[in-house]
Amino acid sequence: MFRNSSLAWFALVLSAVACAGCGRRATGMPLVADSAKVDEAKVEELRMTTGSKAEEPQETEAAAPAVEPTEWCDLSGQFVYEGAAPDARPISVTKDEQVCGKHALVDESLLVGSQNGLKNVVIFIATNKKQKLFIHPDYESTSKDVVRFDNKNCRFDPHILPVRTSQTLELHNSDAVSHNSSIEQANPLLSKDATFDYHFDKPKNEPVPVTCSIHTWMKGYVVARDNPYVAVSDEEGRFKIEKLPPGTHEFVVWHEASKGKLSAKSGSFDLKRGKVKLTVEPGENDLGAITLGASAFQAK
Amino acid sequence: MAIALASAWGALLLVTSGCSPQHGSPEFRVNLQDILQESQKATDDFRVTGREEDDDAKAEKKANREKLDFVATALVAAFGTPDDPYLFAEVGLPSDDPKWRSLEPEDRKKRLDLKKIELAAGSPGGDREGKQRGLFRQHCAHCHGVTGDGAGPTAAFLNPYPRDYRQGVFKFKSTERNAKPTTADLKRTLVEGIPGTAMPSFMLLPNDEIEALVEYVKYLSIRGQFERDLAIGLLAQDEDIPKTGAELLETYLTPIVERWAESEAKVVRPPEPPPSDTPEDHLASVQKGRELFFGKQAGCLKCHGPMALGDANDGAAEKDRLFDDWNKNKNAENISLWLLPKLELKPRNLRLGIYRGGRRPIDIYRRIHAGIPGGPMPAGGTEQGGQKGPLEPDQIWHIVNYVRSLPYEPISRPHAERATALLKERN
Repeated sequence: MFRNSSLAWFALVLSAVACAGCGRRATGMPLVADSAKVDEAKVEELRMTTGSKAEEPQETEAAAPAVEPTEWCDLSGQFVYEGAAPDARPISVTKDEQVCGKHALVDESLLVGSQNGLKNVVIFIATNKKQKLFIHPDYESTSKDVVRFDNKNCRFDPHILPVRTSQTLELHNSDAVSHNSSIEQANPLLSKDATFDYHFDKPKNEPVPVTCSIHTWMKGYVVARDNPYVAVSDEEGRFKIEKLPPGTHEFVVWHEASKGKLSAKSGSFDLKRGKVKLTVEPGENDLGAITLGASAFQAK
Repeated sequence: MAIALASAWGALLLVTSGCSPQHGSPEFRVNLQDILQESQKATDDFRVTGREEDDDAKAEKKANREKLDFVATALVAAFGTPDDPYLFAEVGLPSDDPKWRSLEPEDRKKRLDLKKIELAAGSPGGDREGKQRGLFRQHCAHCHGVTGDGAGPTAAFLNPYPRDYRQGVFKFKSTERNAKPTTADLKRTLVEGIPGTAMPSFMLLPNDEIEALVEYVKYLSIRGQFERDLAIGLLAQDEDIPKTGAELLETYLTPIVERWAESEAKVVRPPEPPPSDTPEDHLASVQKGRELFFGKQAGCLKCHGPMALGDANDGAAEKDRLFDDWNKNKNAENISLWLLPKLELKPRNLRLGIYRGGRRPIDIYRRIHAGIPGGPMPAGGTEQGGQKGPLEPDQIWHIVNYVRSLPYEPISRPHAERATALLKERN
């Protein structure tokens, strides 16, 4: 009796240990990716088809005959900041004070002008692979331009610069002190009056930040697209994109100080998670004042 | 008695089944951090929110989930698992495969050697012939992680963190700034270690094991870049899911492999340094280097400080501090994805004589010429066939001589100077 019960106790302990050992799964996967499922059949299929040329995707209704438009559209509007306009915060200059301290530099991430116009809102056409985007022939003359992004007065001038992938971005230093311009993987040292040419081979879906590691307050953006339909709003919040092809296009609206992607509703202007569909007709298309609520922005 | 024996036997079977190696195999960790850093506003697309979502948001989340599933599938298809590596024939082959031998030498250089990768992959231990296997997990994974993401179990205790290979950016190499390291660079890192960091020297390993580890690092780096490019392309840039392996290979994998293959052509080979064989010539060079170091053109002291102690940003506010690429995009919005806390990068204290990238003159030349990719150190030299940088090769050599003289200046060696002074007093 005694022997049986001690053996039974031993078996109980062993099975408790065994249950702890069973059913262990791989650890350390983040919550969202935990549900990423590997499709074994697809794995085999991908491995077997590395030699084959991809068949051309069947042209479905997306292959509407591409006809060059004869009339072109202008799109304009004004971004307005809703709420009390915050003052631009001054920057404390910690390096090269004799040179950089002279220019009353401010934090340019949220600049609201008189009449509450919001500056530096970027609006551009979203990439749509299924539909050909016609570009007005007038833009051909500027397609190979060299566009300058300047280190001037210890800030980037302009703060946000649109550039096309066919153009050359020229990083330049107009200041007496040396800067370096860190953009993507490049970071050239720029002494006084030095230039460095940079090319984008692919358009970017978001403006690319440019920083200086010596003057760490310096931050600017370059909007790299493959077409000229990009606008950055001015001090009054006004923007204009000229000579668009007529039709419905999806636009991206971006601002550097927004918390996540922007959303706003202003009449027929329905901006959701940074994207808005707009129909433009030949001639002037004025969206009027588009209000962006103060809660969408974060104070830096 | 029979029942007791049977139950003990049953319990034993249960225990051993729980201990099977299959359950204990690690998996590669998914990289969401890089995707979100590429699209800095995209966090909501991935967050599991409890909020009411409209149909558009739900549809977008569902499409994202399908794309994420495809990314996971494509990774297993193209690279296998930590225990069982795989490579497309265009990316890598085992060197004992007849196809490998029938390749032209240039084509062979473009491919990884799957045999070496298999040696480094899998669980640590010996194989049937007594050869060591599982080298990466034995020697490297505790710091660099099974995925090569620089976030293994010991990483959190280290400063600097172990390298995250997944961006394909390596700081200390002999090539131009945006080129990949050569195989020799990676081997040198393993053999010499990185002084001033926790990366030890693996000089005592046999040569074939070191080469296997180098190959595995390239494998993990290519895998990481592929994961990043595929995920960013599908999720942040709305590309379509590739339908065949060929499309996947051509669009996402081949560009990465080609960049690695052209690293040999991008090695920085400077011209001869100006003569400094005599003490006078050398001191003149050091003096010129000193003027350049403190001059406006190079601006070295802006980060390295007026005494070259690397203290220019000490005491500065958070926004004025420097961070390397792996840390600079960590902010409050994406904190749930950080694998490790945000770590500041301090400019090098040049008076210690510890140089992470190597202390030969050519190593320091390359740091100044190409800068340090992944970090704030800019490129000062002229890239081959590229535009003129602010510093001529001669000027860089002068700065190299000055920098190498810094640890021997009296002010850098206060104890030695004090000892010398005491000895003089006594005599």
